[in-house]
Amino acid sequence: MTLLEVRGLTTVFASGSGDVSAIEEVGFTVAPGEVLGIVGESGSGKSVTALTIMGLLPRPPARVAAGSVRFEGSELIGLSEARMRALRGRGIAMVFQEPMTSLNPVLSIGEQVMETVRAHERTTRAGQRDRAIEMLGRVGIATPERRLDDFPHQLSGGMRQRVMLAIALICRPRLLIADEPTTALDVTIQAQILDLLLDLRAELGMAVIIITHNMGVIAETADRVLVMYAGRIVEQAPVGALFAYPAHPYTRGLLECVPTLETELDRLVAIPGVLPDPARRPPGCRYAPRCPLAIEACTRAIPPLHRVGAEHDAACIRTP
Amino acid sequence: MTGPLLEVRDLEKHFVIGEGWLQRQAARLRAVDGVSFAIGAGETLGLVGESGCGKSTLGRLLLRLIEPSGGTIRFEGVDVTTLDRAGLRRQRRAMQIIFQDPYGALDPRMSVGDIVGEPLAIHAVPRAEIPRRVAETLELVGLARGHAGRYPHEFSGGQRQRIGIARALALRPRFIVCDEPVSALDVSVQAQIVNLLQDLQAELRLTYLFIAHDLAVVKHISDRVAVMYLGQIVEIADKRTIYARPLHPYTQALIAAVPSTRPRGRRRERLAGEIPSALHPPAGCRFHTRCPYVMDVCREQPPRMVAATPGHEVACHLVAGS
Repeated sequence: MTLLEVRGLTTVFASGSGDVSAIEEVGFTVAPGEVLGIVGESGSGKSVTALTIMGLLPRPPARVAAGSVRFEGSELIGLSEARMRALRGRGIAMVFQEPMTSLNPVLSIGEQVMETVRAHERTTRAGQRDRAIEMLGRVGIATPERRLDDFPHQLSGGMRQRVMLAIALICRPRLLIADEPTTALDVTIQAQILDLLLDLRAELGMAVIIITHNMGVIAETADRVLVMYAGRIVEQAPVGALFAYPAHPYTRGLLECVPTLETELDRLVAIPGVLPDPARRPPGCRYAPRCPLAIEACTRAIPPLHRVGAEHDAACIRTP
Repeated sequence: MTGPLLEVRDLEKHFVIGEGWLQRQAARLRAVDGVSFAIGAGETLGLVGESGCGKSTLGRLLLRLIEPSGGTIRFEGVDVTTLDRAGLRRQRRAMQIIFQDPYGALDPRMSVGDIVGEPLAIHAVPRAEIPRRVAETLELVGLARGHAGRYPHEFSGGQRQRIGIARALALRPRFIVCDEPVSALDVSVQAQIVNLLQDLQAELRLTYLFIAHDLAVVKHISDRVAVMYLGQIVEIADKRTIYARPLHPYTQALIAAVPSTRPRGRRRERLAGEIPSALHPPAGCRFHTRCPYVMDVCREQPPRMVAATPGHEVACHLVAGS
């Protein structure tokens, strides 16, 4: 069974010089309870993919030009804002990179968690309070009944991210989208939050889409992985296969260019060049100008995803 | 070998917080609290630690971009802490810094040529000579001479960091503080900058203090590594030793927290809790509130830095007691 099915999703932004596509023909599925990792760098389209699913992009300038997003069988593209709002929180919830800008600075954290309960369920104020205390405790906030009246600025970055998780999870969504949830955090706190995320997933039986630029975070959390580059999926695979047999030259580049604690190199294998400007993407394969395997044919047409192994697809004509 | 290029002893920076007529007693934030280390010529010392541990403050203190509250900094034998303004300006020809944020660190209204040429002008390099020196420096960092007439917004993040490096190199310093120079960059671009810093080091015989929170990048680029926690260095050793046999429980926890790039390498011992406030650091060993091996003595006595093996120093009662 599929929880989320995305097909041919293309989101464009209107600009002075015409439409610029942020993502093109993005397609994937998420099964209940699964952790899907989406990895990519700036401009890869990973966050736009998430925001399109959530219906959170400002329209205009953003517009879904093509494609479909089905959640539990129902189409979300074109859904009214009222219906979408009802779905957010209970069906799909999202946490962002910077918890300080996602929390309201003038409301206590208790009020912000309770507000979410209020928006989706009919309960008494005491009931909301109990639910908030329980959820804050569950995300690892000690003595939550005494923290309800704290304001976001009184909390550390890690604690704020825990509050964001409490808000996202309090209505028990079936899918949580976490967009760089640990990027702003220190490494020991990152480890705590990732563990918490995986524990809660098991406990609540929800699926998770985790968006990150960090291959280590992917390796530690994901069951399956999408690799995005310049607005398109270039590879998708189960996590073990992706790390063992990366098929797209960009994926291999990403894995090789980052130093790790397990390896020792005299010199890093850098990917030459820069990420393409979305308004001036190269013709054909977008990675071709930086790719060590590029041949003339790569610049002629955008390579489609094709099967390279079990549940393993890559968009590269140089990969058999 | 003659003495180290840079020698730091008991360096302190205490910020006074809330000093006003309403406050009876001002609070002291001990950002850097008794730090000693040395860096040899041509060496890279990596400095790691989490936010608020004082690593960036330490980097700025070395150049006296912030004034120390105590301790000494000797550079090539000269005590930098006692230099007057003119002396300090002369000293800065030899000591420079590269900042993290390639967007915020460059004045958007200045051309690249002016940005890289500014330190030359300040240090009275003849006007006629500046364009040539700027062009040479731009080529050194992998940019083109022609870039001198362009502005920062016309460049990508990685290229902007090259401009920041060029500015630091313009006076041909011997020592550079690299303060998180690749953290703001996309991973595919990070490696280019790391390689560039290593090439420049070899070519110009540079000495680096490389400050970063990314333990893997620090391991790659450093000869020795120092770990900071709440204003103090808790462990320092050559990189092979510290990563293979970390002795301080905080160093061990930091290394264990780095996500493995092997799938399903998860679920190791996790460090609980968060860094306490530097305004009220815990008594005794500052790490004792989070340490899985805490003993009674840790709550009372601050551990002294001792050499576990030659060159491997650690401040931990577990080691001191052996």
